[in-house]
Amino acid sequence: MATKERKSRFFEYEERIRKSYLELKKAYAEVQDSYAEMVFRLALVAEYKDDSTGTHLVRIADYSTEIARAMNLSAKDVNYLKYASVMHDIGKLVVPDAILKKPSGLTPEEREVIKKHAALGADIFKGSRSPLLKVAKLIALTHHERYDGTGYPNGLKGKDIPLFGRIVALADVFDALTSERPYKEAYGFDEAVEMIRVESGKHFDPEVVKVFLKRKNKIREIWQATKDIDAFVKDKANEQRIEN
Amino acid sequence: MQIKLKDRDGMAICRISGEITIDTVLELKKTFKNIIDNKTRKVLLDFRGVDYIDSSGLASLIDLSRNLKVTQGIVFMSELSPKISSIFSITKLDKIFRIFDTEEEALKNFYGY
Repeated sequence: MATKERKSRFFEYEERIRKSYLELKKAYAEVQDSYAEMVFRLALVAEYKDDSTGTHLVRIADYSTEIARAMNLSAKDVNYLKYASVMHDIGKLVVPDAILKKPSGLTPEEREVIKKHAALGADIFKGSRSPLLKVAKLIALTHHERYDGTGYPNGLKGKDIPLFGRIVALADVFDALTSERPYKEAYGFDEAVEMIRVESGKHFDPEVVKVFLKRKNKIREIWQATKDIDAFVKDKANEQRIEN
Repeated sequence: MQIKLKDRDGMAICRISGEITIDTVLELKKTFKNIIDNKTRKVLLDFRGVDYIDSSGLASLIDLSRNLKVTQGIVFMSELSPKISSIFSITKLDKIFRIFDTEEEALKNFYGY
């Protein structure tokens, strides 16, 4: 075969490989995109049950990724955490509405039923080979564990609690403190930060608390941004109600 | 994140790509400020290349929408990927913002304003 012809074939093959690679890359991005979409929509189902504001999930993802980045987790792990954290309460899908939506005065038995959402959430992801869903399982199972070993469902202590669980535990509690509930007002930002600080080494991993305090300004930005979103959505809903 | 801004018949078409997050949002806010300062009343945000948007990114869209309201302007959005669309759904912003499947469709609707 003449050298010229060989060269031209080589470029032809190279071009074909390049095109196939780009197509594969696009298809992979599409699959990843649909995967992330399903994660958000699945998490949204659990939110409907809980009557939380829509921004709760965004806040959990943003607080968790902010902490994870500051703890120098790999970009891959930060990404897993970003999507898996929104599914932390997925087990609430299996908790009866009558208990979940009871405004106050839960009996000890009812409290135990609610506590089951952690293990139930982990069950939903059991057996998955997906790295993301494995992280989701860990988070669902361990986000109510406490650093001092007094949490549930397994009473894990210290570093026995996976780091993903330790991070989401703080994000989730901070969000609960700064959110209004039927039975309580929302704590102000600084007050809630202080409540997290005093729980260092008790409820929360001291290292996670340290990073959280170090990133206080960014955490405040996230808190403020989601407050703005909630206020905007509420205002618009009221406007639409008046128009109708 | 990358932003490409172009003017078409007095409308600002803003094509965004990459991640709109707490670490990148400042650039987008600056672009929005320029749009408002230029007294542009019709803004189209094309999300074709956007991979992710966090709470700070969403809040910047709200700011833009509020500022445009003062000048009786309006913002349309188009080409949201399913993932971005789901983030709008969980925050209920999908029910408030005017979102179109394609840029063309959004532009057509602009002429009614």
